[in-house]
Amino acid sequence: MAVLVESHPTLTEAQRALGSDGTYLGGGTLVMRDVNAGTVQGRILRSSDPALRQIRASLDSVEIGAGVTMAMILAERDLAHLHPVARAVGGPQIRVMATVGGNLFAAHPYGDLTTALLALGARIVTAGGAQRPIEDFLRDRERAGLVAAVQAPRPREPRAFGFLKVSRVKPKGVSVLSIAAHLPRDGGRLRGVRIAFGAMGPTPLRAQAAERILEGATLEPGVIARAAAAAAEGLDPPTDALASAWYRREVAGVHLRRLLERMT
Amino acid sequence: MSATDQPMIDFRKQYFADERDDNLNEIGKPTRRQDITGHVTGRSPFYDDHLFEGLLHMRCARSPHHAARIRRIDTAAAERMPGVVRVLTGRDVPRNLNTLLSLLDFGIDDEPLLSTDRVRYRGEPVAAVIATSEARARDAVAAIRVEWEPLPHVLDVEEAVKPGAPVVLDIYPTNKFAYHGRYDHQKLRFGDVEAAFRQADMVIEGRYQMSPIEQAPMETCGAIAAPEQNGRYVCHTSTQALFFSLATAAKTLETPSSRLHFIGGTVGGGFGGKVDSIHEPLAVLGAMLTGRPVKFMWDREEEMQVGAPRGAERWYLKDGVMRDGRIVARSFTGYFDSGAYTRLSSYAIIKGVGHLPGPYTIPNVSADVYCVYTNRTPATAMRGFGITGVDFAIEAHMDKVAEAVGMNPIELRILNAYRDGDMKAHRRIAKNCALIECCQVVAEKAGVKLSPAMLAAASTRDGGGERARLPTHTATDEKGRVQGFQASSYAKKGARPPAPPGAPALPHAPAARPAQPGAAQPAPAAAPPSVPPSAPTAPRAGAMRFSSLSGFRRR
Amino acid sequence: MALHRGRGFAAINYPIGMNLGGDPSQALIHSNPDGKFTVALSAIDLGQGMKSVTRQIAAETLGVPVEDVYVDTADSDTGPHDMGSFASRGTHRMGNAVIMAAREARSVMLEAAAEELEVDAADLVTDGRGNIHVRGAPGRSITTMAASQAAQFKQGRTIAGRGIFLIPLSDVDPDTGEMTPVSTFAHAAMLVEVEVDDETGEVTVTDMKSAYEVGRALNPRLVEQQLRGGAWMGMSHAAWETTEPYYPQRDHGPVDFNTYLMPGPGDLAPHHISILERPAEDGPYGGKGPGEMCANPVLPAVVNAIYDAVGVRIDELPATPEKVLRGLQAQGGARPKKRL
Repeated sequence: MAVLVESHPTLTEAQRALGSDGTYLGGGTLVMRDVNAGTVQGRILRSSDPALRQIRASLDSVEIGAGVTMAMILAERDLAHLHPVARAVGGPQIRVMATVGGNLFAAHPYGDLTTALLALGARIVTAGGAQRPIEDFLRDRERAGLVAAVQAPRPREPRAFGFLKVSRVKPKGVSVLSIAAHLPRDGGRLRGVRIAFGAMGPTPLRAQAAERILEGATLEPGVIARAAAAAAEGLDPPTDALASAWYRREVAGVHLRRLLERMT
Repeated sequence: MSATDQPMIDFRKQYFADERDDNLNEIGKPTRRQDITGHVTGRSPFYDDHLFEGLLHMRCARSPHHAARIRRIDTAAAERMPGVVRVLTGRDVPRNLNTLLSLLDFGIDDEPLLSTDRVRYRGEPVAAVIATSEARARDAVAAIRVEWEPLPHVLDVEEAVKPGAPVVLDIYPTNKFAYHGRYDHQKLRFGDVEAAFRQADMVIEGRYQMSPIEQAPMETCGAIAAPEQNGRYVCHTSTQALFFSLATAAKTLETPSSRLHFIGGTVGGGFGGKVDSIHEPLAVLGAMLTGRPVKFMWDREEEMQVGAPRGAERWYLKDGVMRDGRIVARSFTGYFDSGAYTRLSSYAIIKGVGHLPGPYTIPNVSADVYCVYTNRTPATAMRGFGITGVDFAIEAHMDKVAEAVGMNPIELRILNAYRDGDMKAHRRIAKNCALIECCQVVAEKAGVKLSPAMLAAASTRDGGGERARLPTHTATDEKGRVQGFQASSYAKKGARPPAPPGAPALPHAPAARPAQPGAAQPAPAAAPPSVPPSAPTAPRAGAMRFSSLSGFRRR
Repeated sequence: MALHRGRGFAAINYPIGMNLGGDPSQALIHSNPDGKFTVALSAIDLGQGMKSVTRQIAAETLGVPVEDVYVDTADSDTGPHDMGSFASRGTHRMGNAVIMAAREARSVMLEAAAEELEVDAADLVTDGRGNIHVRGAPGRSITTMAASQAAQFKQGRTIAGRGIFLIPLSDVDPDTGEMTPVSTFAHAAMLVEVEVDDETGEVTVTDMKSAYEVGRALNPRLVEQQLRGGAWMGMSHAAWETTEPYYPQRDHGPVDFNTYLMPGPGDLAPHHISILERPAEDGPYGGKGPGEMCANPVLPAVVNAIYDAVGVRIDELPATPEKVLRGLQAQGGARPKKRL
């Protein structure tokens, strides 16, 4: 079957034209590979909608267009907290192409940025303008439709957000696992803790057992140790070419502890 | 000197200076490579840079099973798909059975280009689509319907050699290659290891596993073939073995080699993975049958999972050691995981056995090394072929020996190192040795203090004499004797397998193609014992032999 | 958490110019109209520098500058038979074939020069800079170009040479393994330093110190290229690479360079190389073949270093973080040895 590329001026039109047989192409780092392998065929839809490539920051939140690339994030001062995350995605050639929207749909072991967005409690804005929490989106992302933008709170202080990626190949390797932690503090106590793990399940997942231990606590060694011990609870790590489920589960707490220690 | 102070490279010209004339005009000069400008500017032409009008693309349909019988291959739907020019199966291959080393007169033909009746590893090709684009070829491959009957499979070398294990290749019923028509393994016997183990102060054993490894060239394997003038075919190829590939194509296509014009020479990395000559015969066959240029090239996934890796190896080592660190006996049991076919593993084992027991003079050495068939991707050559795996085993083991005798690991090597004039286990005198000097240089660089005796040791001194003697007694045995294999390395159990019924005559095929015994009717499953199997008297059409003598006979 | 440092050592030798096939390597050389030389081979340049090393060997033997020699590889219509570039045969075997071809071509060139200079060819020498002169009398000279052109366009001679290197097949004794697999060996010793993370099992190679004996280093830069790249490959084999991560099971086989693991630039360790040169009797100008062997000492040196650091023996490659971690857990944590 041939590949037919359609370009649509707005995302809404692209969504309308998508149907059940179309494939939307963002930056192309994932879809083009499938096109080349013949596993994606038929209609490929693109959109030149300029809104997709906008970044709008306010004091406490930021809206990032789905077509914003990792390289654009790295060039944006208001997204400083996401720079370590964007830099962890591929090499320079990938980063100038890979988009926020694509990352939201990336299958394991990709999706490091999505892990960070999950920890931040982002909201996903779909083509029609509807908004939903990122957890809901990840639960059925195959049916979610096209994403227009992501809204994410901005951490109030640099140490409130941390990201760590474990890979076998430096600097460009894919994730054995990644961890993002959002630890807002209120009078020394952690309030609204969110911890997300990447490559530890079919999509990025929250480590809710660790979150419960940290919530309302102070970031001290005993608390960190207990959170680390509970890190893998509720996660569903896969076995793949990079690491076994056993290994991922075994070191999840070690790496969470190291990340939390960095954030004290 | 700390690590950071040390030069990244230095030449220790003082060693062996009297054996060299360092005043030559060109030799020893750091001359810039002839091809480097082309390489770094992206201008060097590789095989895939050759453009042909009307180029067709070939892709294979492959087995999803580790082992299965093929009940039926239905290519009808694929053939009707847009852009599909032709679909090849094993019946289109004039001589659909080969073993690479038949060119060196070694081994029995065991591997089809496209399997017709049975598959022995996941990824084994059973059909090849030729289409106007790669995408169309992919689509048509997906439309090929194969009825499989999955068979029991075996993936572990030691499981495979157990009685009752699934048989991978019927010609090797115990899943082991037959060496010299005599044994199911290659033997090395030098002295009497068992007697020496009894006299040793301690015996140290170990088990080591070398992993299968991908050669990982930047350029994936492939070939483009096209009709040339005068009934010839040109083939641009990534091969790292030009006449190996040419002769393999000539043999399997039953075509005189003079009709093949192979061009290669600049290759985007080989590391051993471009010897197997998989692509050239099929690309040329495609060009013959379509009259058009045909490219057959692996994608990265095929390169990694279908392309032959460096095979896995399992080694058992046993050392008899004296308290002062002298190793008096060393025995090896090795299993090469050849995968489903022989390719080059049988050869690597002989190379490896000639290398044992490593760079040490040990008076009693024994090895049993098996080339084992399993239901995995066939293994092939890679940098250090036959040596890398066992060197890992030997040197990891040496570390254990050093610890057991409480010796500095570098001194243990120097103490046991081979020297000029020593008798080696393959019964040739060592010369041109330099292991001791390498150890001394590294010790100096790393600040490891060696004893005066170890510092004074030299490869050119204290070898030979007693150490040059052959063992007074060598323990030999008949373990692993095989029956039914001929000593001649081209031994076949019975006649040459018949060509598949209806094997086509290729366009421009030589008129005087020799008759193929048995081609008219399949040989009966069990011939009456009174009738000797017909000798392969017919010349091997198109095949060549490149060794200087009939290979690997008994002396 | 603790990082443990360890050092591991290994020493190896390597058979050069395998002859178990008994097949020859061949070369043809001829002079072009402009007095330059073309070497025609069927050998393959895989990036190892086949073209360059044979070019230097041809220039040295012909007695002409390397700029005057061009090497053409791997066209079966023009290059004489050669099975291929593998088994450390390129430099050793093809180099010898090139020497033989170059000697024959040189003798024709000297005969042509002798005719032009009206002297005995036996009295002529080359200076390697493009001149042929009477031994002891540099004034009586002719350029190699002039001699070549005189041969072709005046004297009616072809300046050409044929070379073949053939060692008859070695038999192998089925009962004892007696054989003559090769005629020479290269050597190496390697000390690797690692850091092992005792909570994650991660291994970082921090430094490599080596000594490689390669016969005569025919081209020091090509030798260094091989040793540096080869040692990287050894490190990669030791702790990263495999096509079957759960061998002998075939599940989860990598299909791309994201899942097929090899160390990246950030994983590289400084590698301090020393080169020793003990010429091989039958090697071309004493050269061996550095390319194949250079990875081999790194594999055992890495696992020995891991043991030195934390007391865990990794006998199954690759030494993944998982295997190291399982080893650490089995023995109840790191047990540093610090023997080196």
